[in-house]
Amino acid sequence: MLSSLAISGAGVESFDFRFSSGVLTPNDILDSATTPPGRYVWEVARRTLAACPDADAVVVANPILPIRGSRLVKLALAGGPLPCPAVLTDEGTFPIAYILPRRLLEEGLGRFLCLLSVSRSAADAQLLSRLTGGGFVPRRPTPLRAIGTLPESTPQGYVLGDNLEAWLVQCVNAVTLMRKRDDWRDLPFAAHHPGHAGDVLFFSLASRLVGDEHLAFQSQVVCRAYLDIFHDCGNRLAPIVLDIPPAPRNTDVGDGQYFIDSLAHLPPGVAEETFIVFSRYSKAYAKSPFNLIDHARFSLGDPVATFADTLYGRPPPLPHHTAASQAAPLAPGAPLKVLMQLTGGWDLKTYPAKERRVLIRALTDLGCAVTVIDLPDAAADGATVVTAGSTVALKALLADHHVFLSVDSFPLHFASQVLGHPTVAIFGCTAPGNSDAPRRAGYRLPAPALPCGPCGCLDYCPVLMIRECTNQPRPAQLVAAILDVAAEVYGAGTGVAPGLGDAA
Amino acid sequence: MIPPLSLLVLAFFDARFQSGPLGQACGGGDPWARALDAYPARRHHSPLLQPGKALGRYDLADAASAGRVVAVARATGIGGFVLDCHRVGDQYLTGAECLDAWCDDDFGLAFRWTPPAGPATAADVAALMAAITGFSTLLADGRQVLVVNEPYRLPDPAGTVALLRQAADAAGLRGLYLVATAAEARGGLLDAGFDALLDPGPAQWRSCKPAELLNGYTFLQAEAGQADGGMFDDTIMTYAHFVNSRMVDRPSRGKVLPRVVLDYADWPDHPQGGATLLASTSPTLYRRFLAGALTYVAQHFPEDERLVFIDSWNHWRQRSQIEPTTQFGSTVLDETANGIRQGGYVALTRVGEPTPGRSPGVDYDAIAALCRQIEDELSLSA
Repeated sequence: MLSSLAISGAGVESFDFRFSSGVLTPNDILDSATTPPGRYVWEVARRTLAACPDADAVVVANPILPIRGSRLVKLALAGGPLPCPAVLTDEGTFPIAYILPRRLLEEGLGRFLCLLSVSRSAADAQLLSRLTGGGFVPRRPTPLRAIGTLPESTPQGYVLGDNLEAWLVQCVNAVTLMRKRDDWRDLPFAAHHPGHAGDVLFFSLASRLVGDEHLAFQSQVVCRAYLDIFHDCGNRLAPIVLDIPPAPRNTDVGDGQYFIDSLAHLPPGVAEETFIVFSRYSKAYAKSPFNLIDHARFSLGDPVATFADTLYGRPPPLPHHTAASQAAPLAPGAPLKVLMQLTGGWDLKTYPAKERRVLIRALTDLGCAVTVIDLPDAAADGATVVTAGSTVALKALLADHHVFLSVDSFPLHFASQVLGHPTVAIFGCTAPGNSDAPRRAGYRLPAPALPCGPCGCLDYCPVLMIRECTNQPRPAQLVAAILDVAAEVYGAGTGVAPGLGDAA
Repeated sequence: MIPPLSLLVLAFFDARFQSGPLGQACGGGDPWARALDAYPARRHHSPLLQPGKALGRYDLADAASAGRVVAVARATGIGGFVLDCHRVGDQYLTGAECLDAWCDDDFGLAFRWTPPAGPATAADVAALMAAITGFSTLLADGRQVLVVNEPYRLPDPAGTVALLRQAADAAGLRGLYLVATAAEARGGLLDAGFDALLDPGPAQWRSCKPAELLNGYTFLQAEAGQADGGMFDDTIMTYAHFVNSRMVDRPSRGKVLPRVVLDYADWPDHPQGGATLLASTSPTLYRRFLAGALTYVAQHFPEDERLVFIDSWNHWRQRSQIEPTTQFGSTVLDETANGIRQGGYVALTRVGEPTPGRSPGVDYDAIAALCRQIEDELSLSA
């Protein structure tokens, strides 16, 4: 829950907003995992002031705390007239709400609220002080007992732990920069979202979808290992290249810790002229039903306020829109060439060994030519094994195949969302709604059906305690989807019907 | 342009919580005390929960109380209640009159009928029609929804269906949308004239294996009084397995509407053992179960027939209620609302996707046969 108070001469009006679970109304705000809590302070303030044109100031509750509007009223009004700007704290010093003057947003400084620490009132007061002219910003205690130790994760989906440190570091760095530079209002904002491959793709596509009037960022910190993806996906932000390896895929190094460590490796001069905003995962993304591209759009400043604004409501045009135009033509009688990516970013995404053998053999029996990326043992079942270490290599492979089948991994998103290649998507332990493509001709998603997904586990099934996910589509479903896509894109004579007839 | 998605979530509702005619016919006194007066006899029996202060121990005969119940259900995103038809003498009572004043086009009533043993008679069916006519009813495919519970009790399903439709016409109804409680479309119920099927309840259909299969040693222990013998008498299913089993490979079961269950424990009505219990229930899994069910019907059912049933709104004695409780507040109700919103959103994102398995150019049966054959070959060679 997110709450606010509009303060006007006529009195106080309270508002309750929600992290949306699927409905987008003026009171439901898109639940974005790649967004630091401060972005919600900005969004809530913006919506509250829009709803109350007469309000001079707005009180916005700290997004990581579950504060209802009714509670916020009691806390804020307990100590007499409200100073503005100010930071309200618990009985100690933990920030529980921010009092912001309307002019802060009217002057176009709302995006700086993304830099709030939401855990240190002194740092946040310093930031507000800079944003409102450099005067003293008081921290006013409320009767709320001390917040105390926060949990590792909250029911609202926030992952705290080392993210708290990351938010604090971005705030302190911003205050330092504002002190040093009189022209701080004009300095660029950079989204720190350096990896991984799929995430860079989502951010890149998002940057293209955010309108100029909303785009609050000018650059993005990206690992050199993913720079080709950054460019090939048409990212409109300027890259700030990070010359260190991406964070490991396990949880050994958290996103927050990686953010802090990576700041020392930024190119010279960047820290002195850029506000760096932590834009990796502040929340557990699977808790939100929305596509990660919409998560990223919200992070970059787009309110994504209605369903029509979402990726599914307004699918972006593909660069070369005809689905078949990217692939080799399919001559009559020639075999259907199917490319497969059956391993993903973590073990549980991998399509199970037994099923993939059935899948490859069935397609081969039907007369298809099967190529599998990075899976040597697939050769035993009649597949050709290849590697695709770069987007150039992947593009070349796709151009040589008619249909692509992939688990939820970068190659799937690149083929379906960037190239518009005929694609069948496999989702099992992850939620399709978080990262699949909008519906279009030449795209199929045999959707997983089990309520256990998304489980959030990396290497074992928490229900069956095995190392495979049973929420994957059956081989027969995938074969059918592949033939279905082929028939749709290349016409009825896909060259597999005789084989199917023999097998049947 | 966003196409409209007519998804309807219904909840089974016990209308006996009232001092009105239905309450009197069911024994009078305090219906809440009757429902909640049960104490666990085994260590694996979870105690019944208590109504929370949001709705409390309401009396549906009090119009304001009934209005509050409907208002809370509406706010959650539920589109109507399914009321049981209770046979009392030669007539049926439903309690619909208490709720009807609060219903309109956005919130309506459906009914569930458990046929008597033996063939249904014209008089019986006429009494049923009299009981369900005249209210703001829920429509599917333009017809009033009637759930037929335990259809296997019908000696002649087709004859009963014909009788029901005839009686509906005579009663002036715009037709009946008949839903039979059955797990899959292999028993001829759809051929008999039912419009759709509905997943049976946990006690009627154990769709997954019991959680604990005790071995001989434990059996001897129990017999010797060293372990709880109740573990042998009751069927305990892990909730995660249960919800997965309800959704796995669903299309192969045919036109079966989902029944979403939060919890289930019928031990109060099985004091001597034989109860069915769900263990390790989880509001999060329940939300996903509900959202998944909505997405499923959106993709597989024709418009106007996209119904999902929640079991239940207030079956407190079976611990399956989603109403606010003293112990957990409105957590479950909030998850219900979240599940409905999430399911609706995901369904919207899939608009335009072809219904799986319905492409004319692909022979699904032949592909499935081929894959089975390869699976067998691989199993033999392993």
